[in-house]
Amino acid sequence: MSLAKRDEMLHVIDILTSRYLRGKVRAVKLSMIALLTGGHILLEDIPGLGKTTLALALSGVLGMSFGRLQCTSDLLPSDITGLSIFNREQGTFTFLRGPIFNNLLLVDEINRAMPKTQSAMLEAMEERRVTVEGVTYPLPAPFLVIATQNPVEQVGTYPLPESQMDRFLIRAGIGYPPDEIEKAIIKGGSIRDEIQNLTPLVQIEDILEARAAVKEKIYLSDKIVDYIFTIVAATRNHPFILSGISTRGGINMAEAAKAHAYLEGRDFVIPEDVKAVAVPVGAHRLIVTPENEALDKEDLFQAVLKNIDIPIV
Amino acid sequence: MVRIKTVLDILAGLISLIGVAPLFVYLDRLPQIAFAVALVAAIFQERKGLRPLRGMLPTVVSIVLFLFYAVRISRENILDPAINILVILLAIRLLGERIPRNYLQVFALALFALSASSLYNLSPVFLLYLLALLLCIAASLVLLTFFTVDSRLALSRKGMKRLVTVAVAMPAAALPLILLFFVIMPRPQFPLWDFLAPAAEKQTGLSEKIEPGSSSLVREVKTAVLRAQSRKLPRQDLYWRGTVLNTPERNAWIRTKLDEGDYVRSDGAGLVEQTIFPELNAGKYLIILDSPVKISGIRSSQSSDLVFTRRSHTGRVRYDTVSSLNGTIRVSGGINRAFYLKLPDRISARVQALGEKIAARGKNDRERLDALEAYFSSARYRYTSRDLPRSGDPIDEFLFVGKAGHCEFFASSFLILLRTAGVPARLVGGYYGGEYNEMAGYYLVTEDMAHVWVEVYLEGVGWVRRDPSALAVDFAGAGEAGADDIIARMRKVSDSLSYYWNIAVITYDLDKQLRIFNSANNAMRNLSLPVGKWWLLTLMFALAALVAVFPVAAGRWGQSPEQRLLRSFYRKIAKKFPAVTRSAATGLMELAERIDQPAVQEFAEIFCGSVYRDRRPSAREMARLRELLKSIDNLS
Repeated sequence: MSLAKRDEMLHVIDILTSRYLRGKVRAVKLSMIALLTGGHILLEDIPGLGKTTLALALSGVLGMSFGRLQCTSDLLPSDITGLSIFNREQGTFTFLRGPIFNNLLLVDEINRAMPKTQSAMLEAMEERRVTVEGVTYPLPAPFLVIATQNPVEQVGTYPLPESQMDRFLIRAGIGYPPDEIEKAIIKGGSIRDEIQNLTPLVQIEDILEARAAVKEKIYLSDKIVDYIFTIVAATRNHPFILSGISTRGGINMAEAAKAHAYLEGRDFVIPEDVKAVAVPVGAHRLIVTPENEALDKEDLFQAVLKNIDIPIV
Repeated sequence: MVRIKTVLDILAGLISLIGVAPLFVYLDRLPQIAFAVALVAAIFQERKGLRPLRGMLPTVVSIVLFLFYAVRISRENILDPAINILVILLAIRLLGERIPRNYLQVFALALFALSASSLYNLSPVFLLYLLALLLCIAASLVLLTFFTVDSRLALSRKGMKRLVTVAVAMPAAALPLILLFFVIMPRPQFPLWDFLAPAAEKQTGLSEKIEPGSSSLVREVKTAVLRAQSRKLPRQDLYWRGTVLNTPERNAWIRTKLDEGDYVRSDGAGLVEQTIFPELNAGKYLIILDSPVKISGIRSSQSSDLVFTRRSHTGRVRYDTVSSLNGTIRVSGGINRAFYLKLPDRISARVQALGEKIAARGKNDRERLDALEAYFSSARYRYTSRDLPRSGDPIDEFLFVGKAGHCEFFASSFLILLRTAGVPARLVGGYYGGEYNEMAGYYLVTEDMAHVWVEVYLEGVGWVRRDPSALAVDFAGAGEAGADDIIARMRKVSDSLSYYWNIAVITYDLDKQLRIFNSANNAMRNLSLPVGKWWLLTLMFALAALVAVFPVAAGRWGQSPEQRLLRSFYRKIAKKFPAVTRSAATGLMELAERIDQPAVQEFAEIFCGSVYRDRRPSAREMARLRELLKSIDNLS
């Protein structure tokens, strides 16, 4: 049994994690899952842990065009989408494409942008097209947004509302690398230059083919669907949780599980796939009751997951 | 929060109360008081947190009291000192320190006390006490396991409730099993401990000696003598034969054994079959409805005048009888006439004269008997149990002065007159009457129905029953059951319970077990249904079997082969890798990863590969899975 382009995808992950993004296996894998399912990823961590490096390395290796947005409070929607400029010579307006017209878009510190800009961004992410002055422009495929936000800094930020959070397939932290690896990284210094010169390992066509394989070749058993539904229902009935995982959350969980199964080399989903992606896919969608706001959503979701029997027969 | 100790203390008090209560009336005064005081003191101790008894004192007291009662134990008197010791030890334990060992001792002593009570009294209430004790002790033992771990442990009200429920559920679940064992377990024919219990001192109405005039008042006690399972009979046939008194001894009549012609077994019409359940205090004579034909189901010896004596133990028994209702005992070979004509040494002249007058009135025994009966009827004697003649010659006084008395006067004077007139006769002691219990279909005979009548020997006929008391002017009401009011009816109901208890529990024996099995066997063998109905029966059996098997089947046999495989896989994993934890939320691959063994890994892969592709494993996969399972066995 062979899954189309799986070896190439694994090779990418291998190269990235062994050479450039050491200690970030989980983040890389999750990004890959987001890429394979056509979702977007929100990296939530303090600065300096390699969020941008991750995005750059990914775009370099995957042979995708790369755009970057540094969000500030005066960032306008048109700064993202682009705008029409009057061409004197031709006497017409020509549309200048903004950074969103790239395969990979890094949105740094998304919570610094105004809500208006945020929502324009997120709408484009969802619709995969941009409408400016009555003309609709499709976004390139594949289209992957890697947004980052700093959870610690609070001054001058507009935290993403939960409804917007739901649009990200995955929210993950990067975390500090293991001690030994961090020491090695400190010794080796910044690798930005090397990343600039990365040669693409796969082509866009390969990625699209892999996506199709995930979508069509991976079998999702009814048992797994039941399992996912049980998880979703459990979050809805949990006493600490005000609003559980939405149906979109459930769909995303199944898609992510499929991608995970693909990366594991299986053409069917097992409960472990669901478990592996459940927390990054589900935790950020939970709205906890006011009195339990101090709880970590990931821990809470993990606890919910622990009490759900896997379907085995 | 409820402390385990509090509940345990309450239960311990309850248990000792249940254990001792049925025994209480049989105790000496000292243990009675000691137990009551100890129980109250134990409650106080617990409430006020007083220090329990400890150290040497209780031990010394126990030993002293033990010795005190131990020296009173003798071959005839084992039980009384033993139960007193038992209860005193229990009382001391109640006051003692609350440690698991003492709790257990309280439970054991209470259990002993309850079982000791069964040596005194075998009543249905015992069953209730036993069940209550069983429940309490089972609950306490469960609590005790908690108490042993931490004596200050407290549980929430809900948790405690659940704990007690579970603890009580265990003996409750065992109950059907107990009942089953009751039916199938072999048991001795008589209570094992019976020889310990002293022979019941009885104040029975049936005495060895008939002596009219010995007391002026007859106490009427309504304690049961026997219960006889029988169809309803006319009242004039209800003469329950006990003993025969044939020899005068001063003013009294006693029984002398003699050999004479065999009686002839009656047969033909008028036979009644009964099953008789005598009470414990029924004495050595086996009571049987007159006239006896056959007695079975008990070891007994039979004398020629049809008195049956039990030969073995004195425990609770039952026996089956056959009686004929014609009131006559035929004799082959004649009787010792001289023996049955013996008179007391002293007979008053008036009695002598009356006897001779009667003799003169008839040419043969039958005519003389008729003449005497006619005389009795005409003399208008009254039947009474009060103000009885008590002079030096009560017979004379009864016949000619007071003209009132009870059956003993009637029967003995009738007998004396008969013998004076030269008619051989004897006294028969037994009971007359009986309360018929329609609900359960049996006669209850009580002590106050004790009666004496006369048997007259008529040549060519045999011994004929004659009841002179029946000739009294007011005899009709005597021995009649009281009014059928509510209380009487309630007494009947409670007596039925006693009766069923005797039948079902006390006299239940091997014989009965075999009979049940035999009858079940026969019923099966002789089962004949209309041809068309056979399939119906088969269907019903199949259904019953299905219902019985279903829960098991659903749990095990309903599983697919791969499910069974998975179960055995889990079992083996748990055995081989005890360090690897697994819950219902652990996936198979996850488990395999934790164990990190190629065989386990492959098993998980193949298994998941079929399960999560929604298909059954192929034959090859199954074979491989089995192989892998075996190889897991060999892993180190």
